[in-house]
This record gives sequence, structure tokens and C-alpha cells, in this order.
Amino acid sequence: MRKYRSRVQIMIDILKVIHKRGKARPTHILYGANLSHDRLKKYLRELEENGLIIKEALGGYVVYRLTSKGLRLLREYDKIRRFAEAFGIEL
Amino acid sequence: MVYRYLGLADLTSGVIALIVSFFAYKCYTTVKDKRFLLLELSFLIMGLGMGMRGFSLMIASKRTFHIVLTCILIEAVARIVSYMILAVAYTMQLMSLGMTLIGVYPLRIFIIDPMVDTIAIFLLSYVTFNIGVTLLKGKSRLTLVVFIAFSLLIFSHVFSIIGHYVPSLLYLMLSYSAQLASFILLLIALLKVG
Repeated sequence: MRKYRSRVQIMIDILKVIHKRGKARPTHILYGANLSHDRLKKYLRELEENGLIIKEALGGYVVYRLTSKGLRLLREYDKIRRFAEAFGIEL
Repeated sequence: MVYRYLGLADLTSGVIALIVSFFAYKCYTTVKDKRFLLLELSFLIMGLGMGMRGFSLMIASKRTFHIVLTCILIEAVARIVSYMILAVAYTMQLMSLGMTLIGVYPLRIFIIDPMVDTIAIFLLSYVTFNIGVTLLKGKSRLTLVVFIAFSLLIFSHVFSIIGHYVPSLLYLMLSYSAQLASFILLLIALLKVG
């Protein structure tokens, strides 16, 4: 059976893509996180509203980079995932 | 002497439960998943209950008899409430996974020990079963540790029931020891998480 990613997992995937590239354009995030355009827009807006990423203009393009809060979340997520796994909680 | 040991076991278990609760709270504030909030609430109530009972047992004497009784009562209620919250957390997971829901009906809480233990065994079996399912799917060592911890907690209540009908301190000691071992395993799991 195909396993769908949870909302949190999708957000983490987006943060990982941005972290890996330093600054990422929406197209890179779209392919890296394997999302449709509409869903990507929705998630990027949510991440921005939560202060996890920041939108910038760079050479006529829109790019996203992680905020310190986003970076902290990415680092803590592994611990959270392991804790959840230990207690049988599927993220 | 026995009461001091039981009190110490309770206090230690209570502190570990509070640590688990704090970690679950941190997880909740980070990912805003309600299941973590329920886990936090459950271990917080459990930890406070055990802490109170542990403290009362440590100071147990003829003069503090009523305090001890009250704390035992509070702990019994707290434990059932915390197990019910845990059951709700795992039910939420089943619902989100679209699996068959095993009903958790509101239970009338009886303040009679064997009944409290019986309810606790039922709720814990439900929670342990869910952890067991995840263990079978993921085969993670961490999940195994938590699975054993919850199984020990069930044994702790089984010993407690036996101790109610067989007049021997042995079963009471076994019950508290199983509970302590269970929380030590939870602490080990937490330390492995980081």
C-alpha cells in the first residue's frame, strides 16, 4: 500500500530542500519535495507565516531561505521523529 | 522500610514520567501534533499522581495516614485519567490511518483498587497493542523498548490485583518494581532519542 506523507513530513521535506541549497527557488523546491504547484504555494505560505522560511528577491527571482527558527526545527525534527517512533506515533 | 522503598519507586517513576511529559510538550510546540499534547498531558497527570503518592509513602506514619490515603486515591484517579488520555491519543492515530476504530467508551471510575487496576489493564492493553502494531511495521529498537515498558506497566497492575487477594507484600513489591522498571525503560528510550 502506498504510504502518504503527513503534513509535517512534507514541511520537513521542503525545509530540507531549502537547507540543502541555501537559497532555493520555488521550482527547485517543487521538484525536490515532489509537490504540485498549488500544494507548494500553500505550504510555502504556511511555512512563511510560521516564521520558518523567508522570501527574498534575488536577481529578478523569488528565493526562499531558512530562518533560524526553521533551521532549529530541522535539527530538532530528527529527535522528534525518534521520540514519535519510540511511542508508536506515526508522523 | 517497605513503604520507603515503595515511595522511592513511585517518586522515581513520577520524575521520569514528568521528563517524558516535558519532551512530549517540546515535540508538541515544535510540530503542533495533538497526539504529542495528549502524550504530554497523560504523562504529566501520571507523574504528578505518582509523585504525590511517592512523597506520601516516604513520610508514611500513623499521623499521616489520612494524607497517604488521599494521595493513593488521587493517584488512582490520575492514573486512570492518564491512561484514558493515552488511549484517546492512539485512537486519534488509528482514525487518521483510516483503520477500524476500537471504541473507547467513557468509563465510570471506581475508587476500589482491583477495579482501578482492571480498568488500567484494559486501557494499557489497548495502548500497548497499538504500539505493538507500530513495532511490527517498523521493527525499531526504540519502539521495542517502549513496548516492553508498557507491557511491564500492565504486569505491574496484574501484580497489584494479585496482591489484593493474596495477603503478601511480595506482590505489592513486584507491582512497584515492575512500574519502576517500566519507567526506567522509558527513560532509556528518551536518552536514546537524545
